[in-house]
Amino acid sequence: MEDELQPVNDGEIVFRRIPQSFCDPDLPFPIPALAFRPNQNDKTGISVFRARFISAGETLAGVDANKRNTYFVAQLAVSDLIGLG
Amino acid sequence: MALTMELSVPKQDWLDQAGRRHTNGDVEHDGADEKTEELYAQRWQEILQEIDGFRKLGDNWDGLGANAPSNDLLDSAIGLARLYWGREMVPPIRVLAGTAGTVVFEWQDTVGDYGEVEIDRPFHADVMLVRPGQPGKHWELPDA
Repeated sequence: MEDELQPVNDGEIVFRRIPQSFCDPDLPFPIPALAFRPNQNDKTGISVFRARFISAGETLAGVDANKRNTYFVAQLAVSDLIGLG
Repeated sequence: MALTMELSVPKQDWLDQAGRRHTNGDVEHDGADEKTEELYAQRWQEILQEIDGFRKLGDNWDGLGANAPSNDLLDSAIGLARLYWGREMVPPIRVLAGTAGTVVFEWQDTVGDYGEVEIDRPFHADVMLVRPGQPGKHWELPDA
């Protein structure tokens, strides 16, 4: 039986919520590094959601209802994150 | 971008540029704009106004508990922008309010250079500069 306490493996996908105001598709780097920095709620690193356990849309459940449509959800490969060191 | 970004930012220079405001409430630069190309000057002015506009952000502006930037931090950000403008630095490609109550200036170019200055408290900033094929550089401001 799967549970979220299982170690993350390289083949997994994770989600990160990103305010739409941070994104500009016309720029060479549309999403700033700021979007991947620990926020006011992140005490031990940046928070991501494991796609094995939650859908992209469900990650927005914790956002105030009137703000949910102001977010994008980025999909990241764990292998890429590990590759960054 | 990179060369001017790496110039020293002495604390006194930064302090000198912060907190100046016209009586009508407008934030304005007055100094080196005669030497600055009109396009850059216009963009720097927009940057100052955008930073000033962050004063309207309240806490929880992101729906996830974000902190609003303090007025002192915004004054600092405006001061640093004035300092950079006075040095005829290329204006940031964008300026953002971070969810931790910070203000971020961001530079990008088409060859892959990426620079960022994050003012995280009054008169303090973390700088990151990444160039393709080179290790990223990180330092703090003021640095003198």
